[in-house]
Amino acid sequence: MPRAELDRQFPKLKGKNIDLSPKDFNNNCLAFALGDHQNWWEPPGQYGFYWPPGFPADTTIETVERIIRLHGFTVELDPHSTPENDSIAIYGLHGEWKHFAKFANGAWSSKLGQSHDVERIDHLDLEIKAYGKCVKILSRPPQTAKG
Amino acid sequence: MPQVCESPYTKPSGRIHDVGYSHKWKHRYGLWVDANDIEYRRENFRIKTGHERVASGESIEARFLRLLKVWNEETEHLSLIRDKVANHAYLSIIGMGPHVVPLIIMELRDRPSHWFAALRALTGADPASDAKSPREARDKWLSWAQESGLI
Repeated sequence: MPRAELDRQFPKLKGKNIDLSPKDFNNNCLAFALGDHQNWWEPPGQYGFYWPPGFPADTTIETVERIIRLHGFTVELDPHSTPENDSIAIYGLHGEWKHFAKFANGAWSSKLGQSHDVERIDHLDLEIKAYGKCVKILSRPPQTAKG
Repeated sequence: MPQVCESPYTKPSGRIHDVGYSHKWKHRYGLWVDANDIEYRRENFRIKTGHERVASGESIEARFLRLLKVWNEETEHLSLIRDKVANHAYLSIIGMGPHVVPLIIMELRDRPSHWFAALRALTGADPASDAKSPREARDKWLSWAQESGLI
């Protein structure tokens, strides 16, 4: 995605100095947020997807929150806050998740669909029509925080 | 009753005709055999659907590239394939029928993306049903295309 296209899709990123990684269609933002670079996390429907066994095959925020909490992100923060520990921001519309960003090493980053990873962003910059609002931030508790 | 377009036939572009798909492929999917056959299929398609393809004079390749650009712009950043394949441009590409399969295969080879739903719908084949990742699914579809004489 050229920078101009990125700016068009994400107006709040316009003019900001952000880092972009190469495109990768093999994983998505949920996988990226959970540290998995080998799978596309999405409820079953087509092959090539990964979805953790034992969880409902839906895209509700409730289900994905359970999955994220299972990975150790158990402390809920205000969506407008700046975390102190590794965290995941959930973006959603009408009770369904649409996107994720992760906070690690003091900075927010995210993978934009099959497109680039963007680093050193403000997580609220990703609030666009397609992603909805940041509805929740789940953080690791201090004693298990990495880095 | 579909509306019949007024414009005359458009001759197939040289590029599409020169790609040189194997007889096996042509036989399996009923693709182009010669110019007369193309025109017959286009006319048949036009009468049945009133589709704009003939009326606009737009070649299959040009239409594909135009829709591809729209699809990329509107969905590249989306996190769910479910939403990507429901996009109107993606569905329009599927609506172009099996003629577009070679172009999708080349796109999948050169700029990997989530073409698997379209390929399954267009070909009836399912060579990657056991794929564990998009990358593996792509490899299996490209192998299938190679065996089919597409690449």
